[in-house]
Amino acid sequence: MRKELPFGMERAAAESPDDLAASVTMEEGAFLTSLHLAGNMCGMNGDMAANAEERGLAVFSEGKAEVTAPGMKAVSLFPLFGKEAAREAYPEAFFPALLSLAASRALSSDDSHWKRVLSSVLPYAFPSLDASRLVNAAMLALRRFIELGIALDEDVSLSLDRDEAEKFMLLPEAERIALMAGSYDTDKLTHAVSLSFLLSGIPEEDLDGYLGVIGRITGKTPDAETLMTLPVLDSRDGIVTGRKMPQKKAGSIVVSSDFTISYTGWMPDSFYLFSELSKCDAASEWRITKSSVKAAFSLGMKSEEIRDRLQRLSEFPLPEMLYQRISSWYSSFSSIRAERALILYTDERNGRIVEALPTMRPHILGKLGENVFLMEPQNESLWRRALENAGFDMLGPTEGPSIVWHDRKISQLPSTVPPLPEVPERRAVPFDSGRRQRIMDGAGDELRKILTASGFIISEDQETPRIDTVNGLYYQEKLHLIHSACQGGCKLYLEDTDGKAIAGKAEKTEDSGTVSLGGRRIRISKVWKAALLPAGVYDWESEGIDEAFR
Amino acid sequence: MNDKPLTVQSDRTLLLDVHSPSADACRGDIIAFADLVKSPEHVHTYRISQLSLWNAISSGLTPEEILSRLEKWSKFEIDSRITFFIKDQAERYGDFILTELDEEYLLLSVRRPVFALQLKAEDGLRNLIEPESGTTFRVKRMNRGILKARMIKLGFPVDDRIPLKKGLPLDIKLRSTFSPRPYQEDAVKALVGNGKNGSGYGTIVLPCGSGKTVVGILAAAALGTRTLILCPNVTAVHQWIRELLDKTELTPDEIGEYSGERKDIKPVTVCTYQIVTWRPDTDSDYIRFSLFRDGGWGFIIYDEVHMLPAPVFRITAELQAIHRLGLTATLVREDGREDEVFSLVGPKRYDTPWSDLEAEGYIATAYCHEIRLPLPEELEVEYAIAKKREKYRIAAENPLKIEAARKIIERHRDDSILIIGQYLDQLEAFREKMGYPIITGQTPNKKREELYSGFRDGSIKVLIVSKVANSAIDLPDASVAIQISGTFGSRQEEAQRLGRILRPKEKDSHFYTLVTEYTEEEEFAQNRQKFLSEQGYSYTIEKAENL
Repeated sequence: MRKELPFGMERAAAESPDDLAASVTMEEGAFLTSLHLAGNMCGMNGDMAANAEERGLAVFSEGKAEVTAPGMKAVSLFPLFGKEAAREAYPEAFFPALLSLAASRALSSDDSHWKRVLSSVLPYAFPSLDASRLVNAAMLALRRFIELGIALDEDVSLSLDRDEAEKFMLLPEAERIALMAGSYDTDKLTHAVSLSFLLSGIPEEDLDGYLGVIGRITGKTPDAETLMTLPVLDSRDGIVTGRKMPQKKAGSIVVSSDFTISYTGWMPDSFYLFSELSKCDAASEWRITKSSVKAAFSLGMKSEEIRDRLQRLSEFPLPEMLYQRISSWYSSFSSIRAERALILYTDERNGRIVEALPTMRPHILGKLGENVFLMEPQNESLWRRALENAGFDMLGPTEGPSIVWHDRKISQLPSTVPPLPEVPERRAVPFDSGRRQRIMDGAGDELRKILTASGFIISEDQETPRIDTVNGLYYQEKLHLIHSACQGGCKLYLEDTDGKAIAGKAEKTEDSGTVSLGGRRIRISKVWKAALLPAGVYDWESEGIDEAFR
Repeated sequence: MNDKPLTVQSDRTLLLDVHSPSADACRGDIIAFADLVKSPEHVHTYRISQLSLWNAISSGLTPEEILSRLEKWSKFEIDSRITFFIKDQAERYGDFILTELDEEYLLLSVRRPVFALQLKAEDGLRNLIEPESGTTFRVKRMNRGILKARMIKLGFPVDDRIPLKKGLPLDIKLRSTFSPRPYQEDAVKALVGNGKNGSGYGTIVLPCGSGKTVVGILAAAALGTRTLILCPNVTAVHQWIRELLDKTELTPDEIGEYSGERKDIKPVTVCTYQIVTWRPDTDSDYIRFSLFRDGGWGFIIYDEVHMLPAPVFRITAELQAIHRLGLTATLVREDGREDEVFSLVGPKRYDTPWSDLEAEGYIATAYCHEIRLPLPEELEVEYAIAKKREKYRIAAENPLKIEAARKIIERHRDDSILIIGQYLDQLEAFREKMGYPIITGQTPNKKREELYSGFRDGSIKVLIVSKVANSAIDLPDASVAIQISGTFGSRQEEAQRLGRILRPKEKDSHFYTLVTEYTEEEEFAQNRQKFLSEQGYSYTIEKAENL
C-alpha cells in the first residue's frame, strides 16, 4: 500500500510552527519522511538511522522500519515546510488561458511563431509573473497539449479537442502540472509535484538535493527546470519560493455589460472555451469577444449553451445585450460554413453575394446546389481571405478531416484498404412490416432507411450503425473504394448531392467513368458519398433515382 | 475578511465591489490616489499610476496613509510589490524640486549627483535644462510645463514648489437662487485643494448633462480671479455666457465674448479654441496667444478638454503658473494624448461613475437601443467588394435607416428628438425625405440659434444635426437621440451624443443607434459602445422590422 504523508504540512505549521521547527533539522525530517514512506531502510543512511533510533524517532526490526509518534512530527515538517507569507498564488488561469488560445486558432502549427504570440498576450494577462518564464512555461505546456491530444495540430493552426480539454481541466492542479512534466506516470509525479511546490525558503543551490529526496519518497524526481518554468517554484535572490496552489474552490462570477466575466478563486466553469483571458491576479477577468465566441462555435457550442453556462454561475442577471450580441454572432457564424476545404454552404443572402463576388469567382469550381459551392481546395487561403475582405469574418474552420496537399494533388490516401462496415451480419426476425414502415418514415436519411428495410434497425430508439462513408470529393479515394467493391463483389452504397441513394452489388462497366449497381449505371463523378455495405443489405433505390447520378 | 469591498491586484488595479455596503466609504478613500478606469454595473476598476500617486503625495498624502487605506479595505493581503511601488514612488517624489530663480529662469534641484547625470543623459531633456552646479539646473520659465511633462514620462516626478499666480482679483458672487449639487462642490474642493503647492490645477471628469459648466463657475468663484474660458465652438461660448449670467451676479459688462463674431476682452472672457489658434498662414506665429499672457488671468478653464488642439497644448505648457481646470465627460482621446492633458492641464482630480449620478437623479435615466437593419439587396455586392473604409460608409448610409428613424419618431411622437449623423449627404437625404430642419457646420450662427430656440420652446420637435452637435449645445428638452451614423468606432463621440439627452427631466431618455447588420458597422458600433458599457449602460438589440 502506498503511504501518504500523515498530515498536511500546512496544518502542522499552523498548529505549532515554533515547536515543530525547533524539534528537528531539515535533514532529519527528510530522513524520517523517507523512512515512513518506504517502510524499510533500503538505501538509507545508517548513521542517521542510528541517531533516529537513539532519539526515539524510529524503531527498526527485521529489516522493517517504523517512525514513532514523536518522529511523525518531524515527518510533517520535512523539508517542504515553507513560510506561508513567502508563497504566491499559483496562476489559476494559466492552463485555461492556453486552452483558450488554442481554441481561438491564434497559434500556428509551426511553433516558431508561438513565442511572438505568447509574448504579446500572456505577460499582460499575468502581470505578477516573470514574463520570460511564463512564455517558456506556455511553450512547454502547448507542446504537451499536442502530445496529449488536447490541442490538435491542424496543418495551419492549433485547435482544441473540447472533450479532452474539459477532462484535463477536471484534474487536480498538481496532476495537470505532473502531466506537463512529460510522463504519463502521473501518480508518482503528481505526488512529487505536490510536495515540491511547498519548497520554500531554501537556497537555490540546495534545490536539486531536495528534489532528490522528494524523488526517493515519491519514486519520481521532479525536474527543477520544469518546476521553475511552469512556475511551481520561483527563485529570488538565490532563495527558492514555492508557489501555493489554490484549493479547487470555485464561487460565483460577475458578468458585466462590458462583456467581462470576473471572479476570485478558481475558474468555476470552462469559460476559456468562449472567452479570452484579460487578467489573472488576485481576481481573474475574462472577456467575451467576437473572436472568442467564434472559437466556441467552431468547437460546436451554441449561443444558448454559452448563455446557460454564464447564467448558472452569475451572481446577477446577465446583461440583456450579452445574449443578443452572442446570438447575432451565432447567426452570422451559421450563415456560412466550409466543409473539407472544398464545399461552401451559405444561406440564401450570402449565397447571392458569394456568387456575385468577382474576387470569389476564380475559386468556385461549380455549384452543387442552391447556396452550396464547390470550391477550389488548393487556394483555400485565398478564397478565405476574399470572403473575409467581403465581410464574412465569422466563417469558421473548415469541417472534416484535413487533406494532405503536399504534392498539390490527392495522391496519398488515408488507407489503402477500404474500411469494413461495422454493421454486424445479423438481423432480427420476424419483423413487423408496419413497424418497419414507421421507422423508415421517421428515418432522416436514406442509409437508415436501407438498413431498416434490410432489418438491421428494428426500433426507433436504435442508432444507425456506424458505416464509414467516403466523401465523393476525395476523388481518388472514392474511385479506390468503388474499384475494390467491384473486384470483391461487395455491396455498395452511393448517394448523390441531393441525398438520393442506391444500394446494390457493384459491377464494373466498360466505361471507367461509370459503375453498375443492380443493373443501373451510375456516373462516378456524380457520386457524393460512397460506402461499403454488409452483404446482407437489400438492394435499394431512392424514389426519383432515374433523375439522380446524371 | 470577505466582507471587504476591495481587491488589490499586483498590477496596481483595484477592483471595487459596488454592491458592498462599505463601497462608498472605500471609494472615498481610494480616489485620492487611484484613477477610475471603468465602472460597469457590478465591479468598478481603479488604477494606481505613477502620476496618480505623485499627485496624491504632492497634495499631502503619505505612503503610510495610502497603504493603511488599502489594508483597511482589501479583501486579501496586499502584495509586496504594491507596497514596494508605493513606498518607492513616494520616495522618488522630492528627488527633483523646482523653485524660483530669477525673472527668466527657474531652478531645478536634484537630490543626488547621480540624478543630475541621468537627466543630462536624456535626449528629450537636454534642450530644456542648463547645468548650474553638480545638482542644480536652470530652466527657462516658458519650459516649465514641457519639462515636467517629459520628466514624468521618464519616471522623474517634479515637486513643483512655485506657487501659482493669483491673477487680478475678481469678485464672482453666486446668485442666492442657485444651489450647487454636492458632487459639484466636491469636485471644486478636489481642484482647489488646500491652496498650497500641488493644488489649484487639474481635470474634472463628469458625465454630459451633469453640470460641468457649473463646476467651472464654482471654481472661478472660489478662486476669485479673472478667468479665461476656452470652448470648442461658438455655441458653447454662448452657453457659458448664459450660464454665467444665470448663476452669478456678474453683469454683461464683465463677461466678454472672444469669437469670430466679437473680440471683447473682459474680466471673464469666453473664447473658442479655433479663434485663439488662428494664424494668417502656417508659417506664422499664433498671434492670438497674447490673449493668454496679457489678460491678467488667474484661472483658465478648458471646456471639453479632450478636444484640446495641439497648439493649445504648447501654450498651456507655458502657462504653468496659472490655475487651470480641464472639463470633460470622456477623457478618451483616440490620439492617445490623455497623458499630456493630465500633465499639462493637470491631473484628474474628480471622476464619478455615471451610474451613481443617474441613481441619484442628477442625470436622466437613459435606455440605449441598437436597432439592426438589413442592407438592401442592391447594395450587398457593392458592399462586399468595397474597401474597408468604403464598406463602413455604405453600411452607415443605408437608405433603410430613414424608414427606421420614421418608426422611432412615431414611437416617441411627444418627445423632442435629435437625429444625429456623420455624413452630410445622408443628413440631407433625411431632411429631404422627412422634412425636418437641419443644422450642420455650414448653418449660419443666427439660423442655428433660431433653430435651437425653436427646439427649446417645443415648436420644433425633431432636429437633424451633424457632428457639430457632438458637444456643448444646450438642448435642455431633448429626450430622444437617433444616431444614424458616426465617426467609425469613436467611443468618445458615442458618449458625447448620449450626453445630449442626459439632462435630468421628468421622463426617461432613449438613445437609438441604427446599425446595418452583418456589416462593418456592427463592429464599429460595438467599439463605440465600449466606453458607455464600462459606465454601466447596456444596449438592447432590436430588429428594425419589429419597431
